[in-house]
This record gives sequence, C-alpha cells and structure tokens, in this order.
Amino acid sequence: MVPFSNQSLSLIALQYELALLIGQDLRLVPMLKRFFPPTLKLLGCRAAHIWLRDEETGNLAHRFSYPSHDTRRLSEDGPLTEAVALHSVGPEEAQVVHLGDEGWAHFLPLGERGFCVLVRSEDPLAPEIKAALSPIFDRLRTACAACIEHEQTEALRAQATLGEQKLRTVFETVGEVIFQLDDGGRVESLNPAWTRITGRPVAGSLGRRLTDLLNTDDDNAAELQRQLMTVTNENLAFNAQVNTPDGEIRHLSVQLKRARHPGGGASRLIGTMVDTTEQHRLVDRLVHARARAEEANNAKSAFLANMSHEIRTPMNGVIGLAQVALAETREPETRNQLAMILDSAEHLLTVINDILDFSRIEAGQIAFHETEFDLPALLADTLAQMRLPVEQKGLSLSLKTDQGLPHRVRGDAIRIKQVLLNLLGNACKFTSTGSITLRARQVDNELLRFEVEDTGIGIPAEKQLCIFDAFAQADNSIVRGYGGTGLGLTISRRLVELMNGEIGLESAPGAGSRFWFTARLECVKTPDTRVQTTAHPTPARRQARSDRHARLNILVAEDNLINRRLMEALLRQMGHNASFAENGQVAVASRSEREFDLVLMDMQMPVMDGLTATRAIRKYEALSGIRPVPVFALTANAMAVDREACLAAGMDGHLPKPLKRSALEAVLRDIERRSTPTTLQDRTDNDQ
Amino acid sequence: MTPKRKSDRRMTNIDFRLHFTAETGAAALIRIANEALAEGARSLLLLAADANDCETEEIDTWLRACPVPVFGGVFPQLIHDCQNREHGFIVAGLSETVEVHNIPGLSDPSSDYFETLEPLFGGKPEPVTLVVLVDGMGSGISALLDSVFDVLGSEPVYFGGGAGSLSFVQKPCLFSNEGMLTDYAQLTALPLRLVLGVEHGWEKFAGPFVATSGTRNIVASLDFKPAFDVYQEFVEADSGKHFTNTNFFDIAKGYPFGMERPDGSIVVRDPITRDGTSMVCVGEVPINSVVYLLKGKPENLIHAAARGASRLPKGYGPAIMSDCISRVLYLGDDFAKEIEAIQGEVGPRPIFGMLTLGEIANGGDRCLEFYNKTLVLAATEY
Repeated sequence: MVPFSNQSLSLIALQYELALLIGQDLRLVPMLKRFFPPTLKLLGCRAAHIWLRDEETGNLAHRFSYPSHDTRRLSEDGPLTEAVALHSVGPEEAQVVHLGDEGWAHFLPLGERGFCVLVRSEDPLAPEIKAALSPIFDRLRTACAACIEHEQTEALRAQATLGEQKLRTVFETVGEVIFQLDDGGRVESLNPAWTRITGRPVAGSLGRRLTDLLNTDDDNAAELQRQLMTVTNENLAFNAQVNTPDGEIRHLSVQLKRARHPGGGASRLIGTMVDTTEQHRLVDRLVHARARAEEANNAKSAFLANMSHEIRTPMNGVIGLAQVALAETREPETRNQLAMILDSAEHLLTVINDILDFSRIEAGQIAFHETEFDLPALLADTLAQMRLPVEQKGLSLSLKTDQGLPHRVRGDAIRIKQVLLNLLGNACKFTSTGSITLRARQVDNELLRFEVEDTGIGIPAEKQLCIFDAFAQADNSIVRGYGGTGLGLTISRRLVELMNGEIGLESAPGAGSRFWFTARLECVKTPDTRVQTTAHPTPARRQARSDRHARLNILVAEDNLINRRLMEALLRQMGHNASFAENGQVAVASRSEREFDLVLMDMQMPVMDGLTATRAIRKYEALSGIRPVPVFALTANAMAVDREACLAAGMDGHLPKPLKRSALEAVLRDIERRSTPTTLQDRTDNDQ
Repeated sequence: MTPKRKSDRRMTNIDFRLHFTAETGAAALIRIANEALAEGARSLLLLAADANDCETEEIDTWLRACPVPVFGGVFPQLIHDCQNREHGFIVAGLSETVEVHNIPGLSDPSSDYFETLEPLFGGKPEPVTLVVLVDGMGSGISALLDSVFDVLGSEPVYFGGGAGSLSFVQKPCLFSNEGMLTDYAQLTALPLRLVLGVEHGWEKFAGPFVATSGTRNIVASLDFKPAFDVYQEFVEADSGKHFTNTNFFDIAKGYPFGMERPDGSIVVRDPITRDGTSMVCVGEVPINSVVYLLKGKPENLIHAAARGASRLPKGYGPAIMSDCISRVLYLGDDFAKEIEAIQGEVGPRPIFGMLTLGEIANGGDRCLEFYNKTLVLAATEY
C-alpha cells in the first residue's frame, strides 16, 4: 500500500485525531478503551498493552490490553513477553522488537510511569509515524496519571461513603437514642430510636432544648441546663423521664460528653439515652414482691409468737401443777406418776422449744443480744443445770478450763449456754457409762473453743457428714431409741455460725465423741477478780438458798384460772402471800389500794393487757410519789421482743412460761434482799 | 489478507450443500431448507433477497420449529451462479452443528456489548471463524465490532456484512431459531478456517476534511461546515450532476467517504441518505476523524475485486462473497464483469453470497473494521 499521500498533512491529521481521543473518560480502563480501538484501526495495529509502575512498590505491572482477550493470553505470548523483558533491560535499544510471525512490538514510553506496546502484524510502523505518536503518548501518560489519581480519589470517596453509610445504618437502627446538642443545649440531631422509645417524632424534637424534652421541674431544668453548659469531655450521666404521647412514662439513662469537631470547629455535646423503663418496672415488681414477702414473714412471726404463747400457757399449768402436787404429795406411787408427768412435760417442752427455735432461725428472726457476762459462772451454771440428769444416769460430769480463759466477755450468753446445753444434753443422752467433760479454752485474742467430750456410743464416720443437717440424726433408729427432734445440732450449728464460729466433732463408734465449737467473744479487761470456777455450787451458795427469809405479799395478774391456782399453790409452798387480779385493770386497782412486794404480770389478758397495766401502775406511782413496786412479767410470750417490750413498759424482769421454779425462787430471793418486805415473817425454805 | 495467527483447534472441514430457488415466497424458502435438512444438514445458512415477497410470520413459525441451528439474513441482493439475484433464496446445508449467538440492541446507545459477549465467549476456546451478520441499519455496528474484537481478539477469522433493505427502512432482516430479528447482531462460530480477500478500488479525489461533528454513522459537519454543503460542492463539481430532493443516492453511490490509514489504506464509508445537511452513512464515522471524498472507476473496482480474489487459495470448496450493494448500483451491468473476474481467479470454486449494506472482514492482522463499498471474499482452504 502507498503510505500517506501527503505525509506532513497526514501526520498532523493523525496526531489531531488521536489527541482528541485521549481523556474521554476519567476512569483508566474506559478511557483507554475509547482511545485504543480507533487508534489501532488508524495505525493498522491489532493489539495494545500498557504496563504501569506501581506507586508503592515501583514495580512495573501490566494494567491494560486491547483486545482484553490478549490479557488472558499474555503469559502464553512468549515473543511479546521476551520483547517486554528486552525493553526493560534496554529501552533505548528495544523500541521496536520483531516478534517473528506475530509481527512487531512498538514500545512507546509513558514518561516515568511505564510504557505502551503496539502490536502490528504486518510491517513495523514507519519511524516518522512513531515519532508523531510521541506527543500523543505524552498526553496519554498525563491522562493515565489523572485517571489513576481520580480512581484513587473515587476509591477513597467510596470508602468514606461506605463508612458513612455504615455509620448511618448504625445510627438509624441502634436501640439506644443517639443525640447531639449545640452549645445552647438544643438538639441538633437525633436518631429514630428516640421515636421508638418515646413515641415522639424526631422532627418535632429537633431544635428544642434537651431540658424541655425531659420531665423536669423548673429548678431541675435550670440545674440540668447549667450542667450541660459546663460539661467537659468527662461523662455527664443522669436518669430522666419522658412522657409519651399516650401518657406513659419512659425512664431513660442519659450519658453525654463534649466532643471537639475533628476539623477544629465548635464543640458539640454528644450523648446516648438508654431505655430503662423495663428495669424500673422490674425493680418495682421486686420491691412489691419484697413487701409481700415481708408481710408473709411478719405473719409467720406472729404465728410463731402465737404458737409459742398458746403452747407455753397450758404447759405452764401442766408442769407447775405437777410440781406443786409433787411437793405436796408423800404417797410414793403418786409421786412416781407425778414425776413421770413432769418428765414427759419437760421433754415435750424441749421438743417444742427446738421446733420454735429452728423456725425462728430459718425465718431469719433469731436475735442476738450481746451483754457482758461472767464466762466461768456461765459454764458453772450450765454444768449445774445438767448435773441432775447426768447424775441420775450414774455418769460423772466435770469442767476443765485453761488458766488463760477470760473471766468477763461480751457476747450472747443465752445462745452460748443454749449450744452448750444442747451438746451436753446429747452427751448425756448417748452415754450410758463413763463421764462427760466440758472444756473451754482461749484459741486467740477473741476466739474461744468449747468442747463436750463423752464416753458414749460414738458416731460412724459416714454419719458425721450429715449430723448437723436438719432432721438428720446419725441413725433414724436413734430417734426411736433415744428420742429427740434431730434439730438440736442443726440449731447449734446455725447459732454458732451466726456468732461467726465453727462447729464440728471427732468421734468413732464405741470410742465416744468430742463435739466442739468456737465463738468470737470480746474479752473485757477487768481487775483480776477471777475466781476459781467449779462445777458445783459452793456450799455457801447452797446454804444461802436455805436461809430464813421474809414472807412477801405478791400480786399475780393472771386471767387463766389454772395458772392462778398454780401460782397460789406455788407461792404458798414458798411461804409467800398471793393476791390475784384476773386482768390488768384489776391489777392496777389493786396496786392503788395497797402495797405489794412484787407484781407478777401476765401480758395477754382481757380488759387490759399486762403492758398497759404496768404503764398505768408506773404512772400511778409517779403521780403518787410512792416507791415503785417490782413488776415481773410472767408470760407465755417468751420471745426476745416480748422481753424487750416488757422492760420498755416499766417492768423489772421477765419470767417465761412454763415457769421454772428455780427462776421464780431467784427473783423472790432478789426481792427479799433489796427490799423491806411489806410483811416480814421468818420462815424456813422448804421449796425442795 | 494473509492469516498469520491461526490455530488448528476445533477445526474441521465443513461440507456446504447449496440450494437455490428464484421463487420469492416463504414456501419456497421452507421447501429448499427442508431439502437441505433431508440431506442431513446439521446447520442452515439462509440468505434471502430483499425483493422477495416473504410472509414473516410464516417464516417465523418455521424458524422456531427448525431442529438445527439457523443463521443468515435478508440482503439487498444475492449472488449465485455468477449472477447477482434480486429475487430468490439460497440455503446452505452445513454438515456440522454451529453455535449461534443473537445480540440485541444494536442501536441502543446504552448497550454494553462487552458485558453481553464476555459471558458468551470469555474463557472458552475462540471460534476458528466467526460469521458476523448485523442489521445494516443499526447505528452501533462499530461499537459492537470493537467489543467482539475486545473479547475474542485476533484469533478468529471474521467474515460477514450488513443485512437489510435498500429502502433503508429498518425491518426484520436476520434469520434465527428465535424467528426474524430486527436491530440485532448475529455471531456464528464455524469450526472451519476461511481465508479472506478484501479490496475496494476506490480512490481519493478531495480532502482531507475533518468530521467536526456528528454521531456514530451521521456526519453533521466537515471542517465546521454543514457536511452536505461541503460534499455537494465537490461532488457536483466533479460529476457535473446536481443534487435534487430525490436523487441523492444515485449520485452519492459513486462518491463515498474514505478514512485514510497511515499505511495508505482507505476505509470506505458509504453515504446512503441525508438528513437536512447531515449525511447518513453505512458504518460509523468517528468524530474528529480525517476523511476524504472518494470516487471510483469501474475498471479500478473490477481490478480490485480480481486482486482480492487472487489472495484465495486454489481449491474446490465454496467461495463466499460479501460484496457491497453500492458496487452493484455503481457498476450496473459491469458488475457481471466483477463476478467474472473473481471466478476467473478462484477457479472451480462455486461462488455464492450476498450484496450487503456494509462488509465485515478480518484475518487477524488488525482490528475488526466495518467496511463499505468493499468486496470481501472468504474461501475454505480446500
């Protein structure tokens, strides 16, 4: 074919046409796809390839082919690959490379960015044409650079848009309210969670002060507004309420902080609101449930107190009258039967006391009253209390204490004694021959250890694990053989634990048992007035009990006829005069009519109860300016709260029913000692 | 053109059994097609002359029921037995099954042909020969050919042309198993290597001009002046004829546009009508392209045809012509001389084919072009 007929004009025409094909798209591949097909046709070429330098690595990489079909075949195109390698080594020498049957490869530089290869099947391009292409491919280089930069920008923009879309999705779907306030505390942005939670439209809330959206009175709103104005980058957190259009109140937990604008603009307050309405409802339900539980507990307490009273009242009659009858009867057979009644009644009383104690502990109603007390005396009294049943079984009973055992301690003496009596009672119950020993020692500063050791039947190891569990005696057959509720050790363990102590045992079948417990008792420093403790009351004390003493005038306020008869017989046996009032009102009247050495006051009586009567007596005495008469409760209301109520009403003491004769004797001796009896009369103590 | 990069993959010899009828009804087409099927044809190439009186519906029904792949089109005229035929049908029964893809939206500017073609051909062995037939009135032919070449590269031999009517009204013009198609391109893969000969014989007589405005196949201005005004000035001066409202093509068929390549070759663009001062061509004239006005001499055109035919190997297989209808219109009775010249070069090969609205040919040595006023010959190697 004849080359360009007018060489100069044709070259300019070629440049003109090609130059106008460049840069018709801002994306690299579409731009090149618009450039190369007409260019290849104009130049009579069949393919174009572009290699560009990677900006990060600096390596040349193939970026484009037209036809793109040839991209897939590039690795198979040996001649072209070799030509590219040749050009990379010596670009000046390898500008036009013969590809054999494949034609010619023309390398056209794209500045520092890379190069283009034009493949022509027939003759190579004429040098003047190739030279004419040089400014065209300079333009192409610029266009490639612009496209690459544009695509990078677009990629970043797309990435940013994607990020923004993700954030927008989160903003619109998250369950929490996300909001932004301007410096005046007005809402600038608010996500749809606001509408979902409060039922209020977002649009209607924008531009309003946050304080206007929340349920706050004027003072609180002003204070909140002040806090908003001064909030820093530290979190400001508070709880708030919002009224929904339906009149429902939604509870919100609000948190916000100040955020600086990334571009350095004005700061904004950004915050979240979490719907805590359900949590509030839950708390309300819990409070309500707790109130109901407390009501139920109070009802249980009342029931326990009532049960205690209702059982103790008749038991007082049974035991008291049996004791009176025993004292007044000489006939052996009758005495034996009365003794059996007493024994059974005492046992029944123990069972009842155990059950009531256990119930109180389980109900969390056990109360501890810490007082300062004489520890050796407590141990001696406890032992003395056990002496009779122990000796009746032919066993020996002893107390062993360390020299360092503190004399006066602070704690609940009644509970300590209760545990000791329980352990000693068990030891007595399960020991048929031998001895029982009570030991006490100081472990450290405030920790005391008590041990009850016996030579009884012992307990197998496998049974020891559950012996302190409720209703779990080592062997059920024991209940049948030895009696008991099985609650004694459970009660003891609970009491010890409530006193921050521990309880345990060491035992083996046939080798006896050693039960121990510890208790934290505060030691009270006193002048060393310690006396040697002993398990036996001194002859002197025993002697004191048989001293001659006065006959007292005693008013007994008691509505129960049987109990009045019991008290009449009991006091008569003890050598005292008894007067009776069947209710509190009569007792007050009696007190106002004459002097008494002692008033024994029942609590629950018709017309006027014991507490009211006592307060009336104290009032009368105060107004009259006369000496207050000692008033002791004699009541089946045996719980600690009852005792406290009695003392608060002005009573001097509390004797629980069933009345223990020894307890009454102790009170009477005390009255005798500190008062001038209204009727002084020597007599001989014959109560035993 | 000499093919240089042809592989032998999937290549076979295909037996073409030709059937011709000068009858113009659909029944005649169906009859000779059924004859080909009865002979065991596994694919059918259908060529029809535009002047036939065809009932499209009847042909559609038959096409959709045809048991073998169908391809082909309706062309201004046919070539059979050393004559151009204004009426009749040619059916070539092929002894192999071919793969036909029909691509819609040829005039749709939003069509992304690469996206359509890549799934059809990408990653598969390229066809040995691709017959490309297009609706010659479609406006996106060049874009389609660029995408075809983009996907398939220079491995296949491309051969084909534009179907349609000299009325230049777009109507159903491609045969397919879907029926008659309008505004489609049709790509048929043949497992057969064809050798090409391409020539036109037109020569520059005025220019260069720059196509300064226009779209696709419409040239609106040359050197920033109304295109027809420029064209009219030079052509009337050379021909001594004057354009009226009715004689545009009569004169223009002898004065096409030409886009010159650096190697001196010229791609011809055939102006077929005008729209005001804009000129409508068969095939795209890219904006900013440099164009010349061409004119031909009958003897030059005939000589060029013989030159193209001389590039075909000697053999006995058919030689298929895709020759521009405007050459027939220009040469008139001399067109018979062109066919004779070709026959003289190809020897005993039977010649058949179509007179087209634009020609397609590429032997792998350059990009795929849409030619005008050009003779394209394709022959088997045997």
